[in-house]
Amino acid sequence: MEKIFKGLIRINETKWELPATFKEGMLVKGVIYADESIIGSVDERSIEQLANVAMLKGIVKASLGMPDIHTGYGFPIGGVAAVSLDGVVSPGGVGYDINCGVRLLKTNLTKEEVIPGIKDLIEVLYKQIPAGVGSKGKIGFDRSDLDGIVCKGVNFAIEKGFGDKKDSEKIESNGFIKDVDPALISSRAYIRGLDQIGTLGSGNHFIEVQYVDDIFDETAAKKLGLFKGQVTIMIHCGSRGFGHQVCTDYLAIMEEMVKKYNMFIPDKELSSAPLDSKEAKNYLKAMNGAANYAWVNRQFLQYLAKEALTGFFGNIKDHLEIELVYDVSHNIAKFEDHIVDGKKMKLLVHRKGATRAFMKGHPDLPEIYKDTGQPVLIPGDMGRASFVLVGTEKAMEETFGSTCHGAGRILSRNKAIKEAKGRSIKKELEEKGVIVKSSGRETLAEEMPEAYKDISNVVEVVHKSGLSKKVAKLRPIGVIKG
Amino acid sequence: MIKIIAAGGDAGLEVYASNLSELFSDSALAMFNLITDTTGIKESIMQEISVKSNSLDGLIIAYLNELIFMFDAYGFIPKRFDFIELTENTVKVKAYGGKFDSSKSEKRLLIKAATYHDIFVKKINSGKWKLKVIFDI
Repeated sequence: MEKIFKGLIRINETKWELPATFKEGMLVKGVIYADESIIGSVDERSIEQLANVAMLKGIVKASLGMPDIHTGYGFPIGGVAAVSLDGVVSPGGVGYDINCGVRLLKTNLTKEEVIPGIKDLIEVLYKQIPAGVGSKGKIGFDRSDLDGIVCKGVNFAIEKGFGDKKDSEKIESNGFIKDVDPALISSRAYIRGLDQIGTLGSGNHFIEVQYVDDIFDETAAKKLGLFKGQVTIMIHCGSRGFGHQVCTDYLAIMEEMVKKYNMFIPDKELSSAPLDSKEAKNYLKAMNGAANYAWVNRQFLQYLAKEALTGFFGNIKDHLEIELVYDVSHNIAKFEDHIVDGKKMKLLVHRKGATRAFMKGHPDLPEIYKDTGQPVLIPGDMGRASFVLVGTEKAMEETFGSTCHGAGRILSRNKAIKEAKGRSIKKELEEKGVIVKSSGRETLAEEMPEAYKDISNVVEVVHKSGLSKKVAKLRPIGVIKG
Repeated sequence: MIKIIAAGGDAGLEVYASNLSELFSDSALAMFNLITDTTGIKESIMQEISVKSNSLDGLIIAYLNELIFMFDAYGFIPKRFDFIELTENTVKVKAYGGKFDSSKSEKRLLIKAATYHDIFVKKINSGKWKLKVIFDI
């Protein structure tokens, strides 16, 4: 063991520990999964946030940082914290975009069939899918529909004909969490959420047309229905204004609570409530409703994307097939059973910018993925690649069945805009074979590939450390953004 | 004085003002300039905002979040504020402004929320009020 950097102790090639003595008040140690080059680029603030999370009452084993760790609000992004039932829930451990996540669709189209018309296809997708500031959904819903969305999750969308019956089993938690009380969600969230269902949003959210560029595990790829040269569609989006409002509302409630009970918290964004308190129970019932909203939103985006593709390829391709591979959440807190020190324990696992990665045979996995492990979808930046992996036993043992969620930023928005000055990011990407279209004035500059770590390096760390295993690499050919 | 600041993938504001009402007014107007180009927006609508909190930090966060809600829900963009009551725990204000038009208005940043991250709101040595606030984008 060698001591290298800011109190971090290297355990092995891809694992570093932050001792519980690093900061007063830490109840457990911190752990970061990173190789030498990634650990060197981790900002000090996110290490401090990792230490702050280690102070949450009831935290078990360690405050965990994935290789895409970077500064967030309260929690670092790329953070995982599991708490016992005598612990607390922290809305900061879920974030403003509740159940932001990723969905992957596979098609029976090949890249040779799609690349020649990609410019037109991106135009069609851009017209079909509302994106960016102030955009409104095209599927008309009323307040009672929204109750259905919040209480039934993806089952509501499927009942209404916006998906296949088999879709729900290919979504984390079957696209539906039961423990919801709509009365605990403010009318503000409802008003904000009503027009935004079926919209992409902005920032780092996207819909991407990709193809399978490389296969690392033939058997798992076959099970997932992926083959080299196959065109896939990736959707990255969350619970829109509905979830943002739920988080805003409950952070305010918990902030008042912290004052009322004179609780110590190292950061206001880490406001939390004991799991047996009314405030915690109410937050979880509201958060679950927002999680259901996000799954329905991605289901509607899938429907809209499918419609666009069917219209585009309907006359060219006989029997066009577009099917859901899987849908993962990377901003959520869920009750799960895990083995801690040889004993089975019910824990609340916060994943803030981290993806569930359950091993093969886990009872929560659908029959089709029982012997592969849970598909894990990791998007990269719009110029390089995205990855499909599967969950492992090692993830169950070390990270409460969790892995990374994306590339992680290295340039701030301002720096990215500065770097992009005088350049056309759109043209540069086009030269690399990626057609992009966005509604925001500076979205492409803010989101340019250099603003992010290379996803391949991040994925290599989780692969090498055994937290998930690489199955396939996807290369982008067209992207729409807000 | 208003400065736009960077915070990772997000954006924030540093605002200096001679009094609280100027601070509340300038920070809101600057926030909407991050969302869209507000120059062409006419004052055609009035919205009343009333927010309470047990701290000044909490008050300005709640006030900015209320405006984010009004934009997200109704497309409301304020241009001018008339403060009826403003203390360190209460704000009651009439906001005059217009509506965002997604076919014409410029799309800049989609702000999810005003956060407590590094929140700073205090009277500083110069006698001016200073606010630092970060938005989740």
